[in-house]
Amino acid sequence: MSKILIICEKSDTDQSIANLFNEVGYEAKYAFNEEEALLITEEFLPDIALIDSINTTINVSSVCKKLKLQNQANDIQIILLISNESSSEDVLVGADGYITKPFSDSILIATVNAHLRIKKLLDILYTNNSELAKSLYQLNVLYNTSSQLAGTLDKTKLIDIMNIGLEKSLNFSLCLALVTNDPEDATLIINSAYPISDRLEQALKLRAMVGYKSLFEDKKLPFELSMNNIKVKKHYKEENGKFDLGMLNFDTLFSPISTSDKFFGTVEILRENDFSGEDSTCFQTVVKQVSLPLESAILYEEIKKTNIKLEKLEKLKSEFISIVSHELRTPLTSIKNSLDIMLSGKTGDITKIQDNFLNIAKRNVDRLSGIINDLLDLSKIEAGKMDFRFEPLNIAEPIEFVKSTFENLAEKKSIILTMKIASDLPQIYGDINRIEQVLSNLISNAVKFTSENGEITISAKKINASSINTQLFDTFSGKKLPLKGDYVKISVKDTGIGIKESDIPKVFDKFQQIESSLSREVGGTGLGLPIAKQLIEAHRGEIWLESELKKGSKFSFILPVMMHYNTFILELDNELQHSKFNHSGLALICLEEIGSGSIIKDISSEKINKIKNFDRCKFFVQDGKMQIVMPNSNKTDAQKLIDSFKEQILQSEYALENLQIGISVYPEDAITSDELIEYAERSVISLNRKTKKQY
Amino acid sequence: MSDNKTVLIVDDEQDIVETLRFMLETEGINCLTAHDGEEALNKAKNEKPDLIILDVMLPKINGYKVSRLLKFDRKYKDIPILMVTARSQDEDKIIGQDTGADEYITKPFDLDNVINMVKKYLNMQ
Repeated sequence: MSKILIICEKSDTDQSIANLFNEVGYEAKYAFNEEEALLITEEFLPDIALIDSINTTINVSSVCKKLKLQNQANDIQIILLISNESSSEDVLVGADGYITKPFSDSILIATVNAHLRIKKLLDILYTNNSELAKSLYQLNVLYNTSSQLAGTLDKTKLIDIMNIGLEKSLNFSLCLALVTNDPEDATLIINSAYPISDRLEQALKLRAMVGYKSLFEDKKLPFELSMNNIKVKKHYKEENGKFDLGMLNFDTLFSPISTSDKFFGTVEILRENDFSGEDSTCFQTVVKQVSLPLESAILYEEIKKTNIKLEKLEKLKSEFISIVSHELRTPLTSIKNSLDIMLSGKTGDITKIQDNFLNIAKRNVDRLSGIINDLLDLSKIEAGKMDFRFEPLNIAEPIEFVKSTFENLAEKKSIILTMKIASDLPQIYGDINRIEQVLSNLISNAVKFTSENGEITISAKKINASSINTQLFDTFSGKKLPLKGDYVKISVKDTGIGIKESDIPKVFDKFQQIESSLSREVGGTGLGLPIAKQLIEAHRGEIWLESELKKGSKFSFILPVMMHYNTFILELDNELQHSKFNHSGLALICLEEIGSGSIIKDISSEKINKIKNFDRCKFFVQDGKMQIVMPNSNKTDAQKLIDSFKEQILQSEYALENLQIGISVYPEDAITSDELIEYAERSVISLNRKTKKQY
Repeated sequence: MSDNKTVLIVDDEQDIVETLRFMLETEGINCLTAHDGEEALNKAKNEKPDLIILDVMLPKINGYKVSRLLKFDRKYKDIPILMVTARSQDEDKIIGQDTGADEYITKPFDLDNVINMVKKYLNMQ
């Protein structure tokens, strides 16, 4: 019912107006002075105030102002009764409408009705506006929450952000978040406006449990929870005050925290004032927003845990190999020594049969120690622990050496062992011991599988990448690198038993025993070729086999000819492998000079050695290019080196602008040698420009 | 024979000590034995052997340390040391360090090689 307050002096009391309003169904009250008007308004909350401004002692202007102020939220409509004689001062006092005396009843009612309509429209507008403002605020909070959520992988932080978001947008009294990803790790996070009583805490725990179980009414629970397993974390906004069981009657919103296939917990908020539909939507949105990052956070946590486990396992494995190899070698040494002593005849004469069996024992001890060596080598390579000592090398040197060690054996079987080494062979960059190991393996295989009066040829020649048939080694698994420039090709060809075509792709696989009975007869571990392949690949070479059953086999491998780029890339490979194994960083700096190349030539030869604290770096210089490999370093270390470099150049007669520089860092920028180089070369910047930018 | 050469064999494996001692003695070489690093140091200093065959993995003081202690002492630095390693994953590391040893022998070693090496250092060939 619309309510109307009539303000006039007692003397003017006109009951007829009130009656008029009552007749049309409005409630009307009188006030006879300012005080009374304000007092009645407070209780009565009129929609319309009708003020008689004619011949009155009431301060109309003051009443208008105070009524408007008092009813700010209510938008009271003030209508003044004026006469033709009323001065403009009397009229301009802040009312909303005017009726000039004398007026008819119908004009009064019509005017009042018009203002009631205005009042109603204003009310609607006001409500909409405030709802709009609230929605806007909630949206803002949602936006802030979502942008914060995206920035973290920390589970606790995510829940905190969700709490703050909910508090800001919905102003809850208490928030109950049950977070669980396994039964041992269930936490109830209570964010409350005031401290809570112990009774309430127990009740809340129970409520969270019941809420959790209610989500899976008929289905199996993801986790069996018990009250005792739930850890409770409490946060209070204010210390003065207390919540007890009574607050359980507050209005509440509840939601699971889950993605389509994973469940992480529940969240419930309680508030004294009822939640609206919009509040509920906002609540659901915030909770939904937190679910996905929470899934990532939990996955991340799991991955971290697994990683630590794997690292431990890896360490255990290498320790195990180290211990086992030592423990096996020591007794093996004693067995071998004892056999040697007996076989030498120093312990007295032995019969021919005894000699035979002692030799069998000795042969098998040697074989056993060969297996241990191979296993160790392979595990070392696979763990990235193999340390290569690369140096400029003439390939003829290891070939001649290894050949000489097999001459006796070949002679015994009447095998002709020949060597065809081209005279113009360029140097390669390699580890002589490892290359000897590969050669030794290939030649010993050839000797084993070649029958008497056979022939073994070891050849070496230079070959360009363009004339290498890559299909030959594409059939073998392993990492494939694009071939570039010149290579030295080494082949070991025999006239032995050969290998079936279908078996060829398997020869470099671990523990593959082709013609197993035969290989057992001639000895061998089945690990020699896989090791050879790994060693050649570490030199950025390739190894392959061509073979024909009963006609013979030809093992070939290629190694890149030594050039500036190869030496650098092999050392980078080596250092990178160490970094990966030790979980340390590595920085690569690539410098390029436009023009003569004299800056790099000059500073690299002399001054670079004077740069302190960078003695662990390796420098590679050629043709106006320089690469610096910095083990155990990050971007800051690289920047420091560049800075001291700059200083050197500034003190010299050279100009900075001719020098370009690029940095890449493992593991941030890239994780393989080739990617690191590409990144550094792509991000090249001029030293000079950088200097200008800085100042 | 008063000018008989003396070799100190250091290994915690009695079997290895035994076989080495047998072979050396049949060559007419006197043998002393020690089973840990401490004993090795004491015997080396008191008896001044002509050569030491030294295992790396030893109780109390490891062979690497024993070698350094002797090689950095003017009185003992001329005693040749043949260092025996079980080719484990740490092999490269040990060799890479400056132990001062004259030769490195990898287990399982060839007895004849070791005897020849000993003879070479004792100028007995």
